[in-house]
Amino acid sequence: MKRRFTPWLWASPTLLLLLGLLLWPAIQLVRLSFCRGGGGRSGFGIGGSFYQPGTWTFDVYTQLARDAYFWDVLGFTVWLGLVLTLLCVLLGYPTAYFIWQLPRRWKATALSIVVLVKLSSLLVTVYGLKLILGDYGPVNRFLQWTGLTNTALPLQSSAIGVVIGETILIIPYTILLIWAGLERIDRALIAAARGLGAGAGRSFVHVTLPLSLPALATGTLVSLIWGLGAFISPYLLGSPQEITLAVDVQRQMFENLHWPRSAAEGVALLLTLALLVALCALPRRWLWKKSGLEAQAV
Amino acid sequence: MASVRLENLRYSFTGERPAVDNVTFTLASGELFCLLGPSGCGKSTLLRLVGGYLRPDGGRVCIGERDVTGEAPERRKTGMVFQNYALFPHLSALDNVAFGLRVRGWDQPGRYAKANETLDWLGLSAEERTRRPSQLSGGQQQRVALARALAFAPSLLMLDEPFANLDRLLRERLREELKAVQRRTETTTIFVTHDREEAFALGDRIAVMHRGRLLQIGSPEAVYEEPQGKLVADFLGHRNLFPVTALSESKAEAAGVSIVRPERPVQIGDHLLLRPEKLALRREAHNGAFPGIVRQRRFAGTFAIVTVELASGAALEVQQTDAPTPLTPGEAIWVEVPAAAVTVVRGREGA
Repeated sequence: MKRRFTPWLWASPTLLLLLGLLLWPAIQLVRLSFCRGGGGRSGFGIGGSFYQPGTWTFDVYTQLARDAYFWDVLGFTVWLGLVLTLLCVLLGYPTAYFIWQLPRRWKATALSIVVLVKLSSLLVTVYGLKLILGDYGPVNRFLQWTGLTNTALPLQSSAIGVVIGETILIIPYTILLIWAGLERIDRALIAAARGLGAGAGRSFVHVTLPLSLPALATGTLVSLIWGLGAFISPYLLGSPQEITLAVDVQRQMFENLHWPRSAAEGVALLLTLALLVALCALPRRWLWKKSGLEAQAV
Repeated sequence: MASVRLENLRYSFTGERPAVDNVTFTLASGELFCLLGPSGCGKSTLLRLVGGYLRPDGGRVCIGERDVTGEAPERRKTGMVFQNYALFPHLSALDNVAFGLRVRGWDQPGRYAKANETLDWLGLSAEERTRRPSQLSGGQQQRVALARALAFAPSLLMLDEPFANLDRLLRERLREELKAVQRRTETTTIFVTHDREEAFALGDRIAVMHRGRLLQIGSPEAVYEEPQGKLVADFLGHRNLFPVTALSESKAEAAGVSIVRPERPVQIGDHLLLRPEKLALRREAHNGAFPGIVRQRRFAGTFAIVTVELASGAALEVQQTDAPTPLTPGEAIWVEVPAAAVTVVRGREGA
């Protein structure tokens, strides 16, 4: 009895934080989405009509369902999430593989370069990108200098900018997760495959890849979660066409002052996330089983 | 299958003394060759050089007629059994064994038939063949690893301390199985071990390795009977090794024991090996026997090891097969040293 209780005790500070600062506000959020908009008092002293406490209605949801703009935003959010996931995995796997192959003393350097982006402030990173990708930024100047293009390419205030920015923000997680998975592979297995007659390509396909699938799945999942919640890059590097749900939630809350709608969009984002994660998690379990690595879960 | 030749093979890890130092030997086709040496003597490194996992600093590796020195592991057709087995965790035992055939483009029925045949030799049940390595016992994993290395009919089979993680009984059984399957397939084999008993039991020939160099190559009997150098004698577990302190026309003296000078040339600095199993103990003074005091008696089943302290202070071990009354420590005793009990061991190592 005591031994069962102890782990809970260790986790209790975190659990309390999660309960108090995540679960409870989430419940509040769902409740808020069922309130009538307008007529409330903000408490900010600026008047306005945020929501009417104590009311119950499906108004916001029916409104959202009929709102083409909402569906556009949702569509862009999902598209962006999937594109980001794909990019992060396609670029992250080779990078992680490269780091895994490096001699021990270079690994630490390579890994610190990967996490470098995460060490500086988010705003600094994104504003920096805005400058680099801008019409008069080094990238566009270089492209014009080489003669590949005559006019500045819309590398920011565009979907391209959003994708570039958010990929840079997410890919460190993808790389680290996949690298950690690769690092767990016993190198003797690769040697064994080579000795049995598999060349570098075949030993990758038949041994390294299958054994790294669980890590690849985890990396995909985490990239997707970050990608669907993309906020800062669309906000700062996007044009009015590149609005994600996360950005719109913020705008409904602070610009339109329509709190129930903001809450409902938040709920929609959570549901979309849950759906996509579930779709990803199902094959993940299967992959774990297939890789024969259940015994050593990450 | 194929003969194997190593010529002046050299390898050193950066900034260290050579791990493999000018090693040359030839394996006859179908021979079972045991590489015996303490851990860190370079025997695993030697295997990795032969398997192509390391590029030698100098020298050549030839398998059959082919010089494979510059070739990648996958082109050498060598089967390797790793110490930790290195079985693929995502594949069943059968798929593990079929792996070498799969990457050679065999179709599924063909490779499964061959894999099953190989596993039949090693007695793995049909049910066990469907299991993942993690669901198999150590002995079963060992059999799968051996079958995997043999299934694609390699020119050379290499085993790197394969039985090190197994208990003694299982080790002895697998040793017999290995020998049987090696004879059946007539695969040229290099077996690396630090266990001299294992090397004696398995090897057609034995090579004793020390600090990257081969000290002696020969049949197990020859290596045991005539150890070339003190290092070999020490590593083979020989006791009663005493430096020669005085020489005359007809006599040689070591540890205060003066014996008839052996026929083989002997000089100061050499060692005399007095074989415990060929010494005799007498309770009374005896012509030509040396007095001593019993210090210890260790019972070992079919025989006992008696430690006798000689007048010179040297401790001599004598193997006693039948003693009417057990000797007790403190008892005075006389040791008889027949000429057959003495082997000359050269003082300089490897000489």
